[in-house]
Amino acid sequence: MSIAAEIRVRRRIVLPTWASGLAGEHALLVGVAVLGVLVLTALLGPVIDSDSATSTAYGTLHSPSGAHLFGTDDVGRDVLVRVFHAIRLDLVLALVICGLATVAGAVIGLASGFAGGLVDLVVMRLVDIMMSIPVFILALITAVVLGNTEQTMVLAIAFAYTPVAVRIVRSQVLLLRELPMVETSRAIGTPAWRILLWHVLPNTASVLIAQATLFLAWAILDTAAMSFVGVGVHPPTPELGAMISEGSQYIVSGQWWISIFPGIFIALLVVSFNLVGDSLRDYLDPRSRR
Amino acid sequence: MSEQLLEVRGLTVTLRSRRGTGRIVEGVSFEIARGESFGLVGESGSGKSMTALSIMRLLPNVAETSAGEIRVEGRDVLGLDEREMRSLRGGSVGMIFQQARSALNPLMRIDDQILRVAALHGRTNGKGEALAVELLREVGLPRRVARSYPHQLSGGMAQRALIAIVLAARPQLLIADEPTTGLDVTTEAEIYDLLRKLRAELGLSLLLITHDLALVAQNCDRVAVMHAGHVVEIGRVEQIFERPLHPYTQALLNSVPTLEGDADEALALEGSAPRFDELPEHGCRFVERCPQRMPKCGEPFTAIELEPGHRVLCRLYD
Repeated sequence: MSIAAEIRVRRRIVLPTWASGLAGEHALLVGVAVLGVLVLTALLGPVIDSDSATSTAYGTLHSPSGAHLFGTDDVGRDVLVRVFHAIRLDLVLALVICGLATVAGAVIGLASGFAGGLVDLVVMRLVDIMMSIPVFILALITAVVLGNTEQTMVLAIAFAYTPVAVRIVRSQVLLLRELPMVETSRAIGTPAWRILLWHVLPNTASVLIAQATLFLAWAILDTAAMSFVGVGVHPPTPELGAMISEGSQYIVSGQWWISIFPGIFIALLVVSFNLVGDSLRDYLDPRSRR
Repeated sequence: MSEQLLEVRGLTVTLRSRRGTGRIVEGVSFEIARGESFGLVGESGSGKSMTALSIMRLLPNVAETSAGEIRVEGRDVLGLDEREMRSLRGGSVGMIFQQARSALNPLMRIDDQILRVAALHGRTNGKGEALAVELLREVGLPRRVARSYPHQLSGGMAQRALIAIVLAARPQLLIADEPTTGLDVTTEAEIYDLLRKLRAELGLSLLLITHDLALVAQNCDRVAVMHAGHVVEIGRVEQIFERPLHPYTQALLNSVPTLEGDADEALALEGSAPRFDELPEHGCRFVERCPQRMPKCGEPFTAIELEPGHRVLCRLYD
């Protein structure tokens, strides 16, 4: 091979790595930036303008203007202010749901995978049963059975996500526990629970964190969807899904802003969580760190 | 004898699986003195690793030690409870495996892995960082390795790092199960130099498990040859290599090509060892492949000592 050809080949190999590396960093940057702005508005919005989320003092159904950037709704509330309040609520709910599902999934998955045998069999069949029901339907039914409140909705969604996390953690545990790492650790006198804690759990983290970020995105969507159909968060509490629901009847008559703006912010939240999740997964894997 | 660090007497390991049941290790006896280097050679599946794992009581679920006695520093290993067993693992007997890199936790820095083992065996007393660096120096690694992750190390460095981690528990006996498989010859020689140095400096005993006769000749004082779960011959390295008695040992030594000899003269051994579920109930397990088999080879028999320390499991020497 001539030197020129070799250089060409090298460049072809080097360029995609460099490009993908940079693309990864851009994704993280964009994701974090968008999320940062959203979180900041969620935190600051209500502080700046604490009581106007339910204030009806602005006149009904004004289209977006300098005074009301997102317009006002059917009872004269400022859509922008309500969106900010709703983002805060949705973020908090999503974090709680994600935390519950991830922790429960990690604990059950670790125990099931490491114990094996009958315990594993029973747990996995339960997981199969739960996963045969669509997540949203399962959460909806559970919330309704538990009583239609914000707290039960959070529990119900977390409950519906848990089997997903259980499966992911268990599959990692099954893989990891056969590694020489675990045998070596046993041969050096490490107690089983420490092997789980030191060697197995941390090595599931990259996969689990990626899934947790996905959970955040799902939770935003499912919280909104549940509230849209009237389960969980109820009007007049500002919540993105509930707001879409409230505004939906006005779309046909031309007052699109009541529904569209909450919808845009749901999309922004979901996309930015996905961007951050993917980049985090790459970053947290030390094998891919340069 | 209290001089013996490890004594294995009549060790029998039974494997039960869906395919059948078999004594994959049977009547294995040997002992290792303090500071001694002992080799366990045999082909794949001859029970070398199972013997080592039963010393650590780390046999897979399908296998169990069904008979025999194992003593480490005079303590009856098979009678210890789980807590005592954990202090014996690592604390008395350390074990290194092939593919050292996958034996290390990829997410944990080397010093962290060393210090956790040291803490488990109660020897940190606050000097953490210094201890890690000292152990790394002992195995010939620069101090920067302390802050490295396993993927930043070469294969040879990973094996050294693993040895440092194992040494952090201050074992008396180091079991090395094919420790240099997958490493190149130069690195392999370096690892064995290191093991020799550690024996000299720390008085460590070594149980080397390998299929490579040359490694045993260079690194061991005594050797046991295993075939299909039996120790067919045991003795000092000179005895085994100069006066091999068992037909299997003779065949193994003949199968090593020499520079002087004709390559065609190196004899390959016919056939393979019987499968674990087809092992004969008693008698010699080499009989099917043996060029000198006799009718009485199928009868129960015991090893005989032909010269001091040189025992053979064969009816030829009755």
